[in-house]
This record gives sequence, C-alpha cells and structure tokens, in this order.
Amino acid sequence: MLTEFIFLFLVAIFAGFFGALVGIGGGVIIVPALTLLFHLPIHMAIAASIVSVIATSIAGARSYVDQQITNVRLGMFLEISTTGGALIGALIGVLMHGYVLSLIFGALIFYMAIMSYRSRNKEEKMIDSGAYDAMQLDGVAKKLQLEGTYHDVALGRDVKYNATKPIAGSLVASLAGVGSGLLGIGGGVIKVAAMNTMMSIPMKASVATSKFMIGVTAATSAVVYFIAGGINVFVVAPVALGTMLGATGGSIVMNKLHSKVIKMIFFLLMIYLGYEMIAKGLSMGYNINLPGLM
Amino acid sequence: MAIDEKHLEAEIQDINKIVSIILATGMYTTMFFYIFGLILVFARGTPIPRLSQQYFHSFGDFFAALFSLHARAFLYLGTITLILTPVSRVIISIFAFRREKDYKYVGVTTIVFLIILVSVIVGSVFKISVG
Repeated sequence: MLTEFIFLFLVAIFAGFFGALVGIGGGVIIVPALTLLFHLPIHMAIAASIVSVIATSIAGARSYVDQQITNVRLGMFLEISTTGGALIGALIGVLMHGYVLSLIFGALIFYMAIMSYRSRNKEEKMIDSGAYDAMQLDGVAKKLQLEGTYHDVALGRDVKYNATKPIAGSLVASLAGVGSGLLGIGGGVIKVAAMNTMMSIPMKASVATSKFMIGVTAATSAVVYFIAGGINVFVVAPVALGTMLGATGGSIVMNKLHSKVIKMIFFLLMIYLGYEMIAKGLSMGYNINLPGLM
Repeated sequence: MAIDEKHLEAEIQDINKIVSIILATGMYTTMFFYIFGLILVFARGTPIPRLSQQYFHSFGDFFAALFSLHARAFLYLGTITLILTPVSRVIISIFAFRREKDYKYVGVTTIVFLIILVSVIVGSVFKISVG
C-alpha cells in the first residue's frame, strides 16, 4: 500500500515538473499513467487528473506571478473563452460522437505542433529585433490594454510586447476550454499556441499566463466531477501533492531555459498528443487500431 | 481615455500581489489537509478504495469523521480547498479591480465568475439526467 502511494507521488512530481516547463496542467501525463500503470478506471483517472491539474496550476501560476512573467489581464480576458468553452464542451460532448472530437483535436494539435516547430528559432530573433514590442495593439486588445513586460533570465533583459488578434486568439482559447470540459485536461497546449502563434505574445509570457488560466478552467470541470461523486480523494491526495512539488520546481527552471528548448519540448509533446488523439478517434469510430506509443 | 501607463503598472503590481497571496494560502491549506490525511492513512492502515464513493451522507457524518480523525475527512477537506482556490481567485479579483477603478476588468472578471456558476448548474442538471 505504501509503495502505491509513493508510486503515485513520483509520477505526479514528473507530470507537474514537465507541465510547468511547457505551460500545461500535466493531465495528459497523469491520465495515461493512472490507467495504464495503476489500472484505475478511466473516469476515476480523469477526475483525479482534473483536480491535480488545478494543483499544478496553483503552484506554477504563483511562481510565475511572483516572477512577474504572467500577464494577469490577458489571462482574465481569455478566461471568458476558456470557461465558456468548458461549458460548451460539456454540452457538445453529449451531442457529438467522441471519435469525431478526438480526430478534430488530433488534427488541431498537429497543426499547432508544426507552427511551433517552424517558429522555434524565430522567438529569440523576434525578441532581439524588438518585433514583439513593435506589434500594434488592435481592436479589443487596445481597449483592454493587453500589453506587458517581463524579465527574461536566459536572455538577461526585459521583453516588451503588444497583443494582436484578440478575437481570433480567444476563439482558439475557447477550444482549450472545450477540451477541458470533454476530456478532463487543462488545455494548456492550446492556450499557449493561441497566445504565442496567434496573439504575438512571447513564449514565456504565454506559458506563464496559460498556467494562470488553467486553474479556473479545470476548477469548472472539477466541480462537476465533485458534484457527480467521481473523485477518489485517496488517489487525488498523493497525486495533487506530487504535482504541486513538481510544478514549483519546473516553474523555477523555466525562465532559465532558452525558449528554443521549451519550444522543442512543446513540439515533441504535441506530436505525441496529436498521435494519441487520432489513434483514439480511429479506434473508437472505425475500429482501426494504430500501434500505441506508450 | 485609457488608464495611463504609471497607473497600469501600479495596478498590475497590486493585482499580482493579491493573486499570489490567494494562491499561496490555498496551496498551503490544501497541502496541510492532504499531508495530515495521508499521515492518518498510514497510521491507521486505511486501505485505498478502488472505487470512488459517497464519502459522507450528511454534514453531521462529515463532522463526526473529522473529529474522530478519519483520514477521508481531511482528504476531502483538502480537495474542496484545492477546487475553491482558483474560484476564490476570480471572486477576489473582481473586488481588486474595482478598488483600482478599472471597471472594464471588473466586467471581464464578473463574466468569468458567472460562467463558472452556470457550469455548476449545468453539472447538476447533467447529474440528474445521467442518474
């Protein structure tokens, strides 16, 4: 029994650390770990995952807010979309077949992986040339003053930026909410991509702000699981403790890394996720079984 | 006219500080309940239930478990604290933005809070329709 707790705890530390580095909640690591390694039913795994996603978000978010990398205003603005998406996600989930959604998500994640890979060297060039600062705030971004500055430790300088395309960005961010409502994840991958590739927010500010938003998105889904009685507190406790520790460590390391490294980790993770989602969709909808990666 | 840059800077500092305090309080409270609960699990040798279940039948039941130091009561408390931390961050931010007289963001944050409330209602409705 003791070994089970320690095992859960260690897996959770890994998920929390990794999640904080790339701005995700770590649910995509916890759900497969709990079902494949710990043999828990998928619903219990998802419920435990969504609660521990809140834990990683709190630990990571706090560290980034203290380091002043988070753009709280941008986060609040996009939370309208992510919580709204979580609400719509729960509704669509009832009406639409799961495999269709898995395939759509898989395709979206692959697209974002490619976008992230293509821009992997662009990030520091854009910071150097002042391109993020030179962006013009447009439309709603101007009204809501979605601009910001953070200190980049790896580059040893302050980075200023202005948000662009706020409406397009929030539409994409709402998909992250849909994912949370449907699949029990934080949707950080999609939030980061929405900010970094669509809204011209530097990678590190995107990661920090994504972390900040995940807690609220995940709490919305967690309340539902909690009301429905799907949460096993004996599993949640060691997992949440572990992810909190891991996320605190990860968020300290993140600002010291070069964004090229973060982007590569992000790219590999999305390729893996995109594959798993498409494999799941094909197996559910058409009985085609692709070989598993894990 | 939009808020000038100096004021914006000061507001960001204030809001950051408030958010950080709420998150820290939530995190340490959760950790306290969880660690205490897990110590009780080990001390009493409570087996890990394989299925999620109804932990308490009433408030009285919950307080009885709490006062007789049952692990499940503390693990349950930790989970509630954890879920409520981001929600309270949203609620308190509404008041923080109001204090800064930044009414646009009072609006933005209030919308987020209302969506969370609607989700709770939707969740209860689904529970009824599923059950």
